Amino acid sequence: MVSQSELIKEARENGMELLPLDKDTYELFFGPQHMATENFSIILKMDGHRVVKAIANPGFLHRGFEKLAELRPWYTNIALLLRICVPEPDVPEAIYSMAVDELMGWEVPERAQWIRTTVLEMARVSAYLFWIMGLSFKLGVYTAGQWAAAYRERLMALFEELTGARVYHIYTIPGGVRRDIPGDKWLRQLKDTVEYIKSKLPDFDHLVFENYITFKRMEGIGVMDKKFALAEGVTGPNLRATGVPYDVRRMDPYLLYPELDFEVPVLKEGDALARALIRRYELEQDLYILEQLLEMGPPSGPYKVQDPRLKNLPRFKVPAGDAFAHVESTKGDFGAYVVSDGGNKPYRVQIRGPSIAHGIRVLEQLLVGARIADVPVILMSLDNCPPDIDR
Amino acid sequence: MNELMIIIFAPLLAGVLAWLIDVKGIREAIGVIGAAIPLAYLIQAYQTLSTQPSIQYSIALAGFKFEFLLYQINWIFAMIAGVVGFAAVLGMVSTAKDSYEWLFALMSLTGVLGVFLADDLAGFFIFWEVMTFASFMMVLKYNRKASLKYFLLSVFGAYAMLIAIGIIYAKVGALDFATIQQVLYQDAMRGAFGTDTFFSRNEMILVFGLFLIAFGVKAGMFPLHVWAPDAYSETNQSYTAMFSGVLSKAGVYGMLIIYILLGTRLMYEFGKIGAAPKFGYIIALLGGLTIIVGGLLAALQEDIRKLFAYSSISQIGYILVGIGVGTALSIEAAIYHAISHALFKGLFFLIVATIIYRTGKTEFKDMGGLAEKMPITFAMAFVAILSLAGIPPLVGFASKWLLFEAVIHENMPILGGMIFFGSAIGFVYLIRFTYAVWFGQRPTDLDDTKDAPLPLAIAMGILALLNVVFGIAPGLVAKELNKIFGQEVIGGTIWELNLGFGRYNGLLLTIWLVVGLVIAAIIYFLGAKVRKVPVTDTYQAGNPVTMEYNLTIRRNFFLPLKEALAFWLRISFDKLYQDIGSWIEDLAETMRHYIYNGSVQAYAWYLAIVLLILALWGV
Repeated sequence: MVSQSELIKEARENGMELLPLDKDTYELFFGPQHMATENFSIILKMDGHRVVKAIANPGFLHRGFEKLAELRPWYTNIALLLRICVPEPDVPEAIYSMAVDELMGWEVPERAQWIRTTVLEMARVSAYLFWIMGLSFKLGVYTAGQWAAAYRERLMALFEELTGARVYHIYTIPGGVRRDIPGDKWLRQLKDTVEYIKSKLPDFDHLVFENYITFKRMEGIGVMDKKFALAEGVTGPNLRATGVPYDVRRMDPYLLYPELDFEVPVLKEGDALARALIRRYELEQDLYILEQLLEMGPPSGPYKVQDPRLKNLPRFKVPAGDAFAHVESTKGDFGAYVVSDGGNKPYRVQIRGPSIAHGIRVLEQLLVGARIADVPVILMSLDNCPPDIDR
Repeated sequence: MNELMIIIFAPLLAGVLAWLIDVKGIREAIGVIGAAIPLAYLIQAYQTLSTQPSIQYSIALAGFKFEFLLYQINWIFAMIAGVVGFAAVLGMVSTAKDSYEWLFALMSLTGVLGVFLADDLAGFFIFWEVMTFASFMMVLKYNRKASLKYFLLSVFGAYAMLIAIGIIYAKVGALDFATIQQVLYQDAMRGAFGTDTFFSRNEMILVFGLFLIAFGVKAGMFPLHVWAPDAYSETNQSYTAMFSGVLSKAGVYGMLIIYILLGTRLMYEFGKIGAAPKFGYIIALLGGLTIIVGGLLAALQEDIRKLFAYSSISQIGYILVGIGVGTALSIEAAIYHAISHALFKGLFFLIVATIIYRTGKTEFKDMGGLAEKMPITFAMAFVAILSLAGIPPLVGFASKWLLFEAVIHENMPILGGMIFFGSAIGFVYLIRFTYAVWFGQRPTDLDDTKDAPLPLAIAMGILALLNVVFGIAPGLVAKELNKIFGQEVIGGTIWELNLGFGRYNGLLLTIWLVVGLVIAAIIYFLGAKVRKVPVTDTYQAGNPVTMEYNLTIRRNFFLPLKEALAFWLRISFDKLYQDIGSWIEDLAETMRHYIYNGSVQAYAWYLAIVLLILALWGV
């Protein structure tokens, strides 16, 4: 048995490095087993409490959806692809369906369009509530987080009644939606819920968005300017916080959005606080949109296209070609590129998650110079969603 | 020969012998004996002092009559010097490289003992200079720049003292303490009865200010502390145990001398704030600033020696606060803290000496995980940490508690806040030391580190034992301190301090602490089985790590503090002094350049101008 000191002696004689290698900075492993990062890891090289270098380390959730999607029939893929985005799973369903609709050349019925718009907006509201929960937990305002989770639960119940599932709904399908609205009772409940959540917004303001501590903790950290954000492909609220009024619902309208009246909030500071406030304003706008939709009411008619090819779903074939569809999710511009070779399975499905832009390169650059306490806040202010990076 | 002379000159004699003989082994033995003799004689003198008030000796030399006196206060200070000096000399057996260090280390012990025992200003000043010179030579061997800074400020202080002594001698006509004290007391009386006084108000301010500078430099008082971090760190660390533990006490003792000699006169002239004399309040406020500045800067250091150097400054601040407040209780508390500071800071510097001796490293970034390799040193450090931080069963708590009580009793919220802050910041920098040196990942080049060598271990053991004993039985010290004022300022038994408005029972507290620890141990050992895991088998957010990663904060541990203080840290007295220094250098250069310009005509003109002036003057 060779003693440790002899080993060290031998190592020195052979010119080997003495460990640890870098004594000036230390490694802080941030995630995946960490409350602030969900299934995502950042390796931080720290000097004291300042970040010298941040290395995003995604891929813990890589489940290979894009490859798996090539092996499954067109309709089965919905149940697979919606698992890309956990907080708002209706978005991947919708974009995939919209892309397939385009390939098929289907005109989606009006009632289905109304339902899709409503579901997407409900998903946005619940995703923003989910985000408020995350932010509050990271800021330490647990009360607001628990409220947000409770209000989101009301929307989950409505989703459950509509689709049968709380989170992964498998509801939007190419050509419309899977089931019709349960009835007027559901619409009344939705109206009540929207009014209820709207009445609770001032509570969140008191606790989080008008709070001195929130301002102190978020102001001036993780600042990105317009040029940088555009160059890195940042979209959604993160981009609007730098002063670019880009919103897919305005720039490339889909579903019923052209008929709806809403504002796109824009701030120009580009710091974590601006990003948080933008999300707060958008939550309000989304509730307003839902109110309008409910006032409009679902038009009568079928809830999905009537097409004989839908009789035998496993053998359902899509004409060859490619299509791209994108919607505005709470994380940003969420897109799907679908290629068909005319068979009963897609040739290629590429999902463009918005977090891929702001979750790796942008995050790495925003974290440089930040304090440890700022790291989760910056991460949360970007609303990073690891599954849509990893796919 | 009188025993006082033996106490003072034995170390110097041993130092010279060690220097002359210079044989490894013998010089160490001589040095240790030289430091042991004063200690032995001081312990013996304790017997004598219990029967007679003081031991006196005087000697006439070169037209001066040097007087030496051993009585209660300076016996305590001399004992500090004896014990800590002995421990430091034991430590030097391991760390001293050559006979040069033995000569000057022992010479500075002679100097400081002479300062403590001198009973006239001439002797006081001479030993003060011996002490300064010897410690300067110790620093000079390691770092020229640090030593020059120390020397310049010390000389500045010493000559401030010389001017003050000159003023006093010119007015009083004597140098011995007894006469000066008496004359100034009479002067105060004369003032009180409305007669003209010897010393005018401005002269008193001048003398007080000069003494304050002189003793402030040595103690490391706030605006004059800049030499200390460099000098304490850039020398043999075993010697620093004495340098910081004992030599800085000369400054503290000097502050007491101000009270003894000028106290009544200054009090009469300037009056009081509450119970504290106004002149003392200046000392106390500067002491409070010293606590804060020293403590904050200690937390920001990256070098283990610098950390304890600043910590030393911070702790001296406590003593100055105690002396400044100036009531019997606060002065006793200050002397108590001087004792405990010497004990724990001596211990700390011996620990630092051990670490540097065994690892050869001084910066925190090169250390870590040493507790496993140096268990004895770690145990000593544990005692020292608990003592400095003021954890109950140790001496640091007793003395800090007395200081708090003294300040609160006098109803001084600002000073109270300052020392409470100092206590908190003390924890802060000790956590830095504990974390960076003893725990965490150990760099692989420290894997074959050995524990403390025997002489250092013994030296640390002596000081650690005294830290514990004086903590559990605080009455031992309090009883001696009460003799200074000849009354029971701090009441209670040997185990208990009783101030009338607050009590601290060291023994009871220790018993309860031990009972608590036993209960905790029962709960712990009855629990689940313990398994030892390697240091890299750690949380790290679920990532596997190896020794290649640096997982321990080794640099900028208190960066948030540094950022919060960024504005204040730009104001540096060190830089100010350096600027003044370079400005004087520039001035000298300019003078040399313009006046001695090498032109014969210019010199002729100088002559003509001088003649002209003389002519105008009417010569």
